[in-house]
Formats: sequence, structure tokens, C-alpha cells
Amino acid sequence: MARKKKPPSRKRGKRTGKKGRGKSRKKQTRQKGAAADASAEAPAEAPAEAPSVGSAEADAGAGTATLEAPSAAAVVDSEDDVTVVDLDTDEHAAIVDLDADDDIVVLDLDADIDDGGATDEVELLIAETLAIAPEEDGDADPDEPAIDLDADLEEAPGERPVTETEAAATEAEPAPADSARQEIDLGPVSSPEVRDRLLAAALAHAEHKDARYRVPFAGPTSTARGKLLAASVVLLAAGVAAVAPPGWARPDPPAQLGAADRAHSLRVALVLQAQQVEAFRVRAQRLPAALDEVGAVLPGVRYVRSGNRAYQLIVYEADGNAIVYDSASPIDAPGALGAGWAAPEVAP
Amino acid sequence: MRLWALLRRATAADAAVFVAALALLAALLRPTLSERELQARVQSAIADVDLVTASARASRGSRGRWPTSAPPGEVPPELGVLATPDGPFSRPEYELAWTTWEVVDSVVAPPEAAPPPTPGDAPRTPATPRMAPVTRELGAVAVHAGDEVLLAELLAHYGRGSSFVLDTMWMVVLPERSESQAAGP
Repeated sequence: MARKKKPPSRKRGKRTGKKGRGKSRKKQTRQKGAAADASAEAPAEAPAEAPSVGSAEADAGAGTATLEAPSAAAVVDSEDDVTVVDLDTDEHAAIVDLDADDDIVVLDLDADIDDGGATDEVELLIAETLAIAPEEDGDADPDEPAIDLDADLEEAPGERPVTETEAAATEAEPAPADSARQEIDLGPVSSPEVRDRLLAAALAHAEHKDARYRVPFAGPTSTARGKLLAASVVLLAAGVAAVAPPGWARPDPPAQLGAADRAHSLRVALVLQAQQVEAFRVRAQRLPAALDEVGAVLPGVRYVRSGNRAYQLIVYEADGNAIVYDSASPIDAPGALGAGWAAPEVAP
Repeated sequence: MRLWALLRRATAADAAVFVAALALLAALLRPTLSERELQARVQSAIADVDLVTASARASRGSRGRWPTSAPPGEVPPELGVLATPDGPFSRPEYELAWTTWEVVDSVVAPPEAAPPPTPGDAPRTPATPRMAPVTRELGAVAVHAGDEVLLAELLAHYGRGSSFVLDTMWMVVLPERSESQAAGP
């Protein structure tokens, strides 16, 4: 995990001294004040296991370290000793111009410096900080202020402050623990015999369903045949009802022209036509040669003139019988014509 | 939705039963429906005849004579108010006709003037009244239709005393005075 605190152009390094820990060999590297790009290139790994940044070369056998990378921190390791460089300490600061090729600082790692226990305190502080501090994104804003390590220490280790968004989401969502706590009743464990019986029943049901579809279509079923038979009967009844409707379905029969009505109508028609001939004779003092001279002529009436004073009017009934009106035996003109006239007697 | 579900499950046999039931229902209802249709035509014809009669009487009352005769379906000039598209002379089921007829009545005529008696003749018997023929005009409304039932219904309605049926025509002869006038004081 890298910490950025100083601009990358200039590096200040301080050799805080040598710390001997028996035969164990440790390498601890701390890079401070590195540039943002350099921080991105250097993956965040465990600080205790992170070797010196790739830009630094160490010659453990010679006990010296050479820093070639322009942005690398002054971290130097020796074969037997662990050296921690505190860049913030001005007391032992040494300015290294990393941009220049000839700015090579040769550190004497074998030199024993007595710092009065400050090195141990710094190591302890770094170890606690690395263990407690939250992870930071590699794309962090370079302008972000440095983390107050003292403030981090006040929080409980392993806990992270809950933001307002997370608190709202926690309130909105149901607690998954509640659903997880619901117990599911899986029922009694079935025995192999029961399972076999259920499987056999299911297979028999499926076979029955398949058998229904395997039966070929053989025409209408009995129900359909019954319906068709009923339809035929009803249709036959409809035909009978259309030809000869039953009495209860037949209204009162309309008026019909009977034979008497027809004969009476013919006689009245003959009298009315004779009146036209008589009227013509009164006006013209003669008989008309044909009915066309009269003017008003009823259909179906024939006129036969017999001499200068007599004539006959003839109509035929539907059955061919002739009805004759003879002027030689005059019939009183229906004087009641103005008040409803009755049928006169007409010689057949 | 339920009806639609039933229709979707219907088979050809169901459709046959439905059609047969409809046919039976139609066969049973046909006489009643035909009777209603006939009565509608009869009532329409009666209304038209009464309308023409009233109009002709009104024309005779104002003009002193009946309207002139006209062929079937044509309106007499004196009855021009009835010449409308939905008038009585424009029915598709029948045709109305207005006709006039003459009848001869015998009336008592004054005795003819005898020549003056010559001296020595026996005294003459007094002249007896004689009958003289006179003509008068009657109006008649005719209905021409091929429906014999309609003609029979009209004959039954107006009576056999003043109407008759000849071939495809029914005619009613209007009396000199209407029944209301005859029954009046």
C-alpha cells in the first residue's frame, strides 16, 4: 500500500538506522511521497512482503543500494538488516536528485545508528496503520489529504464507518436473516416403497393419457351421432310445421273469397255496367255499338247487342259458368246506389 | 366471454342442432309473421281508401261534382294534394284508382201537355204522372292488387252492399251521402 505525501520531483530520504533482529531477514519497504502514476504501477500488496520497488536495485553483498528510478523512494535493503527510511523526518533527511543520472546516493547499510528507540516506534506505528487503515482505490485523487492515522486509530479495528446511503439501503431492504430463519417443512421422509408406488401411478397415468391420443379418429362419437339425429328430427319437424303449421301456431285465417262472394260481386258488376249503358242510351237515345263508347268499362264484361232496344252483358265465373244480364227484363236500378245498393236479381 | 368459450367448443353436430332449432322456430312463427304483415297491408289500404274518399267528398262539396276518373296509380287533378311520394296512390303493394260511374234513376216527370180539346170531344181523363229517366254520377275507389286475400279483407271490411271484387280489383261505390251525413238531422 502506497502513501503519497510529497511531490515526486524531489525525494527526501533519511536513514534512520539499522535494526538487527538476529538471523531473520526482512525486507520492509515504505514508499512515501511517490507520484500518482508510480503508485498505480506498484500494486498494493502486503507491505511486509513487498520487495523494493522495481525501480530500485540493491546490492546486498556490497551493503549498498543504488536508487535509479526517478520516483522511487529511498528504500534500501541489506542482506542482514532491515532499514526503514522515514522520509518525514527532517533530522536525517538527505535530498536525492533522482532526475539526474549521477544522483546516486550510496547508503552505508552496515552503519549502526543509534536513534534512541525511535525506529521501533515508527515501525510499530506503520504496522498498526497498515493493519487498520482502509483500502484505497488506486485511482484516488492526488489532492486528497493525507489520512490522519491518529483518527484511524480511534475506530475499532476491522470496522468501517457506515455511510448515509448504506444506512438507507439497510432500512429499505428486509432483513435477509428473517427469511432465512423461516423453517421449511419438508414433510416426512418417504420410504422407497411409497416412492415406487407413486412412480408406478404416475407412469400409468401418462400411459393412459398417451393411449387416448393413439386412438385413431373414427368419426363422430356417440354424443355427436345423437346430436345429429336430434338435429335431423328437429329439421323434419320444421319442414312439417312449415307446410302445415299446427293450429296453436296458426293465427286466425284471413278472409277468403268464397264462391258466393264471387257470384255476388259479378252480379253487382253487371248491374253497374248496365247502368253505364242505360246512361249512354238516355244521353244518346241509342244503344252503344260497343262498351268503348260508354267510357267506364269493368274488366271481364262482354257486351252483346241484340237489335236496337235490347242488349246483354255477360261475365264468366272462375269455373266457366256465364252470368248474363238481359236488358229485356230490366231490373230496377238499384235506387239505393246512393245509400248502399243491394245486388239485383240477374237472370242466369 | 362465457358465450365465446361455448362457441369455441361447439362442434358441427352442435351447429346442426342449432340450425334445426332455428328452422323449427321459423316454421312456427312464419304464419304469425305473415298474418301481421297482411294485416299491416290491409290497414294501410283501408286508410288509403278512406283518405281518398274523404278527399273526393271534399272536392265534390266544393266543386259540386266528383273528381274526374284517372287510371290506376294516377292522381286525379282535383286530388292533387294526395300526389306525394308516400301518398295513397304510390303504394308498392297495390294501386289505387279513382273512377266515376253513371247510374240512371227514374223520376216522376210532369205530364206532357195535351193538345187543346176540340169542340165535341169527350172530356179527357186527367193526365197521370209519368217516370222519366235521369242520370247521376257516382264516385268509386278501386284497389288493384294481385293479393286475393287483401281484396277479400277489403270486401269483408266495406261489406258486399256497396263493394265487389272483380278479377284483381276491388271497388267500393260511394253513396251520394256519407253515412255520417245520412245519420245526421
